[in-house]
Amino acid sequence: MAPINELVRGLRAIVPERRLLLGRAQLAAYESDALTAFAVSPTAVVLAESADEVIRTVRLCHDLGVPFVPRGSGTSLSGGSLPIEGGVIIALNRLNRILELDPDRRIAVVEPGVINLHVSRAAAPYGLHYAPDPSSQQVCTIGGNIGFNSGGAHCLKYGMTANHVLGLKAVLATGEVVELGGDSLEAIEPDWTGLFIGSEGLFGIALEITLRLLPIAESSYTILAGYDTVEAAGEAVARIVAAGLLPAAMEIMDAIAIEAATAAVHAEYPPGAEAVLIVELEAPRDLLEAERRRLGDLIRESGAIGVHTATSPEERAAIWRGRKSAFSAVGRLSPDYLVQDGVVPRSRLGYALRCIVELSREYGLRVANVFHAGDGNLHPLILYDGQREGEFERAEALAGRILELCIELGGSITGEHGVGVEKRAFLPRMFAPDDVDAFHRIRLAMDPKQIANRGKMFPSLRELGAGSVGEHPQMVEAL
Amino acid sequence: MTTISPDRIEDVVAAVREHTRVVAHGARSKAPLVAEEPGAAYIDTTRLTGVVEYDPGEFTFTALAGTPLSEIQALLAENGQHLPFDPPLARAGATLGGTVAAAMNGSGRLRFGGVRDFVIGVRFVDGTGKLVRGGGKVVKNAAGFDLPKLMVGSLGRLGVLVELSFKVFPAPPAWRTIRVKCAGVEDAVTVMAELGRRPFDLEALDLEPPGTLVLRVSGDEAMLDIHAARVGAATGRPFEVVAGAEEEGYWQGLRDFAWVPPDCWIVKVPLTLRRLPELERVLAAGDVARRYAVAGNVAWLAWPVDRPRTELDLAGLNGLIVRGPALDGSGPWIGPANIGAAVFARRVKDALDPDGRFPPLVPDVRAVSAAAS
Repeated sequence: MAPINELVRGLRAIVPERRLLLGRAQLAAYESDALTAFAVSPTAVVLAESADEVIRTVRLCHDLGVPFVPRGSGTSLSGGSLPIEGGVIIALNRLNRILELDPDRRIAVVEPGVINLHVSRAAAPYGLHYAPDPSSQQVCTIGGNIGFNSGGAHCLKYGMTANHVLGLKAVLATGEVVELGGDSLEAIEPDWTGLFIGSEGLFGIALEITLRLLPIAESSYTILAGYDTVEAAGEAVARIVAAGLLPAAMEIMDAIAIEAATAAVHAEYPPGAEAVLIVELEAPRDLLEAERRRLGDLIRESGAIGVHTATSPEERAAIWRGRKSAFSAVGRLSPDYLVQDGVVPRSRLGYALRCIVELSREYGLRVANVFHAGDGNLHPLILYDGQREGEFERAEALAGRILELCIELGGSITGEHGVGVEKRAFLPRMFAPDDVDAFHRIRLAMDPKQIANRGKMFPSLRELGAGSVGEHPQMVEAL
Repeated sequence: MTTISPDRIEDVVAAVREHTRVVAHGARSKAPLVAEEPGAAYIDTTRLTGVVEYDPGEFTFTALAGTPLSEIQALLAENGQHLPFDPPLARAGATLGGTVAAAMNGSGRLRFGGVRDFVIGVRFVDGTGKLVRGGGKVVKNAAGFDLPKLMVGSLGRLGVLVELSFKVFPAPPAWRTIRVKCAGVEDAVTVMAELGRRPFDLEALDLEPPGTLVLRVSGDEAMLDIHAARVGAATGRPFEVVAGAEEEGYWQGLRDFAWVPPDCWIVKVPLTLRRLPELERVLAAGDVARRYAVAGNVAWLAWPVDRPRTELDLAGLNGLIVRGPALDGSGPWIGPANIGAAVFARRVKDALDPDGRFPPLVPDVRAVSAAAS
């Protein structure tokens, strides 16, 4: 790696002094993202304000062989923006302009630092919105959403980030600038944009992103039902899916999550409920009534012990406030927690939840469950106290058992948070060596020096900075 | 010309490894997309068929790449499910793999997305002869690179598809079509833009030039006429609502490209609403049979095979010849290559097909990127 003074000299030529953070105190804020169990101090942070500064910084890093990590608001739950020792953080928050919003073509062209929710806000006057809605949508950036193919509560009907991006301009790790896709829904090339999304920053940095906007639903119906057990709530979901209804969202919270949300935002839930199910329908007003009736019948048949229906936008917002605050609210119950993001086939939800309860007992750690039930996307929150000897290790081991369970059931180790640092060890358990090798060949083709977000996704020693590049690295256990 | 027709995945792997030049194809329902490579081994996937996994309650299925679309659609229909992207050419024998490789979507892709948005898992043999899997069998999955999407539109140039997993949706209980008479193309574009922002959940929004819009809505039978009438009235133009066999027959005709005159190539041209009026002027002046689908996001042209293709180039179009007689080796692309993606394309091609076992990409990424740099 290049000497630090050469790197710093190069960076000073790109950004003014006040936007180049070097001192320990200045760098401290960038040591972790939302996966707070890990912290690494970078060598420098560049607060970029233009695409040109990003491109020049990437080129400098490439020339010097210095690794870099793109970072938006740092809300990654998989450690996606964890710094690399000796590397540079390229902070993108200041690239926050919406460059174009065309209601006729229903697109928005944005810079990577634009906050997710701000796109919908800008589109609202035209009756449009940007569909992917991660729980962190008030702070997370589109660039980060691109990196990790972020989801949200409404993926069931509308899909994830990748389903809402038509094209993008990006700087590859080599410093080359590419333009993928376009502004049409149709294409005559392979879906390069689709490959870029969810690549966890391993190819480079998106600079301009063309998003697809959808009309805001005309009418919606949000219902919250309480159940005796989490399994009963899970079975209600299977029943609704099998009946052929296509709700916009179906979410479950278990007793611990309910307790946390009640304390944090004073949400009200049916008394005695061990689990709540939130179902939201969206449709044109003429068509909503029929779906509402069918959903009502299904919920009644599912043995719900209390049902609450939102009759106003305020009540609907209150239901979602409880759900979207659940992660942070659980933080009040425990000094630390790990969020998992496994996916299981929807028909196995009940079984998976029973297994998680057993694992929780076995490891002696509380696990709260908040999940996108309609997608089979689990979010167990494993509560632990990092100050207690061995408790973090136990929490990690429990998290690993849950991921193994998801793989065994034919699911995935991540639905929407990405592999990041956190689940590197599990990539080769979900995929065969030839699959991982193909991923790696693509990575090496895009970034021969492996400087872009090194240490994420792949459990390879070489990825962690050891040895020379060029050969196929051996897959090894993560550190 | 050697043609191999494997019926097992391991035989596809062996066939790729045994030959230095490989061209994969399915039922040839999109013959112009099958590269003409003298001396190459042709892998015909039409015997590689069968549904591997389908649990209706899960709303996903996995099938081998040569499985006919018609077989999949019949199976899904038995369970009240469907592929919302409305894939064309099922009755012409189109396979699942060909539909993915050619990125074929019908008019119905407007509401929930195209084949790219429904393919969740893929297995393919890459140019190094390795069997590679990407994605998975669950509806939500962010692990590893999104190879299923990469294979959409890859035209057999990055790998031979052998198995695909899809998510599916419940089929709507009923449909209606609304035909709206606009004053001309400019008026039609204005109405399309307006409809695009309205929360009507349109399943399709096509334009029969010059000025007839064709909309499709779905939902509960009892309320659907009211909904269709409201949507029609919202256009402020004369409209009629069509239901029943006539309604379904209209869209089936589109899936079959029944409007295309004989002896024509079918050319797919990606588009936006903004570019539509100018294109329509050129095509109308040139007397080209055509229609526009997906709210102005694609034009389908019928180009007589005896008419010089250079005229298409002159119109400044970017398109792909997807159907008609096989081509003579000149490649199915119309218009200039996308220089902006050339570096990215070359890097992906080098990673998955380093020895150039499969035909070159779009039209030749090496030449294009060399010219660009």
